[in-house]
Amino acid sequence: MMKQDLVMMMVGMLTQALEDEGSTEPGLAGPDSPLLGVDAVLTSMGLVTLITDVESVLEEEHNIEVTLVSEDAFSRRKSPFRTVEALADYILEISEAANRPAGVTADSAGS
Amino acid sequence: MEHIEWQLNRFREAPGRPAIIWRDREYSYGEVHERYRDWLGRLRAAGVRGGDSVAVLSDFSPGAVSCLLALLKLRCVLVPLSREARDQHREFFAIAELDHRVEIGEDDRGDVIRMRNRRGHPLLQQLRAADKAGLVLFSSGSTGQPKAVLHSLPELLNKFRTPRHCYRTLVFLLFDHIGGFNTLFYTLANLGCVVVADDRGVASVCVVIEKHRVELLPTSPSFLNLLLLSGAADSYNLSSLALITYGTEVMPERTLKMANEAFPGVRFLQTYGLSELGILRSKSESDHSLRMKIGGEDYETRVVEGRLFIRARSSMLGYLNAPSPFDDEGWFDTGDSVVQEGDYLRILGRESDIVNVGGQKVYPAEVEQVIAEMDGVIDVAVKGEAHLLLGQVVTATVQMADPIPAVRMRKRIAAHCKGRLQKFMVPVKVGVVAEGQVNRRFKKIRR
Repeated sequence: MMKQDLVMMMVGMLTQALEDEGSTEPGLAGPDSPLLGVDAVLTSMGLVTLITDVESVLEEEHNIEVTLVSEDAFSRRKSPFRTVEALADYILEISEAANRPAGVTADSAGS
Repeated sequence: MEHIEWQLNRFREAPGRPAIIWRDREYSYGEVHERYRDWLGRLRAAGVRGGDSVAVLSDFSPGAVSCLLALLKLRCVLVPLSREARDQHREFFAIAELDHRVEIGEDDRGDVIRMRNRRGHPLLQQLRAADKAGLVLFSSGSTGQPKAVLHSLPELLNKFRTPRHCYRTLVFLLFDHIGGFNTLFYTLANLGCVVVADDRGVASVCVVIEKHRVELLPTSPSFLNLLLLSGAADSYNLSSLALITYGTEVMPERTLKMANEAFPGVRFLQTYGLSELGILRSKSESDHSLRMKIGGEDYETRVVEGRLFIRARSSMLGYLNAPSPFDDEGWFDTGDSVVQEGDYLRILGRESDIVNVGGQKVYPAEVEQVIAEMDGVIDVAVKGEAHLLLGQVVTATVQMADPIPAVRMRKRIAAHCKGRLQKFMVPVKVGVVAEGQVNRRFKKIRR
């Protein structure tokens, strides 16, 4: 899945989530929308629901199985939840890592 | 007088009356009495003595019931084990420190097999020293290993001597369940008739109710739900039913409402009991109400911080494989969350099932009730799932008549819950299953 498609898909879902939360300006959702922190556009329940929906859609419609809420995601210095775009980068990163053949890592591939 | 002598005197009052209907044949009180004497001789011949721990592996049958009565007479420790728990039997044999086991076969005859598991557990020794019969039941703990509950039988059986209404009663709960045990001894004490179904599927149960004019159906909300969904009330003549009792789990309001509509004229009574304490006497506010009074002469109740505590004269002696759960004054923490509404209590659910979403409590039963109202939903189970952001989140698994993508269903549920539940109670994750056991049974009946 291309990054651009992923961002577009998530912006669509965020727009929907804002509507569901009764936001007055759901149209403001974009790739730069902050998902976490003081400026977050969604409530924490809204964010949890959005993330779970993203996981479900990726699995059901794109056959991509990822867990987005994890120790790894929360321990990063730059949070993957800071914006929609950052989340898209994170999804691509971990799904590629998961699809690498078993036993072959970046370090051992060449040796 | 010992309970067994009292019970046998009752048998002598009505030898011709049916005591048990098993595989469509009636067994009279006279016949059960005869089989009891037969068992007494066989058990003695096999070396069974007072204080021995003896398992009976069976389901409800005339042979199994007679054998239990003979073991009661011998003042043994009775360990009823249903065939359905077969996988756990070896473990149970050791925990109950069996001296013998009786395996009742398909022909309703049994063999007494010597076992050597006695290790002298202090509670069992206490019972032997007092020369009293006992009962071991394994409670299906929601987490971890089943706990072996040891009762002293004279205390547990005492309440059955107060005369009560006599019914033709279907034994729905299992042979090794406090509810099944209670149904059996209540019915025998009042010279009612115990009716045994071939299995606990909706069809078998309905066939037996129709054929043998069953009056009392003690059951669970889940079974009632299945019964209603199957439409069986229209396919079978269930008009003999006078009373349906329900317990063991939280009753959804919708199920109770539908059940009242499907069975007009039938009374509905909520029951409450625990393996550790026996079954309390209960009284529902009305057929339509989930509020009830519980208690009875042998029980005291109190609510502390929304949690139900019970003190019983006939409570168990203790667990054979866990520390005593009673406090210094003998109160037992049921783990059930309740609301006190005037003189009545309403059960909200097990405290351990409560989902904690960022510090806010969610009762799965409450969410399930709302989702169950939706069209196309056959069944729903709500639980908590660990979540890094909120501690826990609410998830639901719904069984649908027609397939639907999970996210779309999640949204439908959210829309339906809006205004009915608070936001944190709405499932953030939904799984959809098309075919479950319910559905298979459902189809089988309709065909």
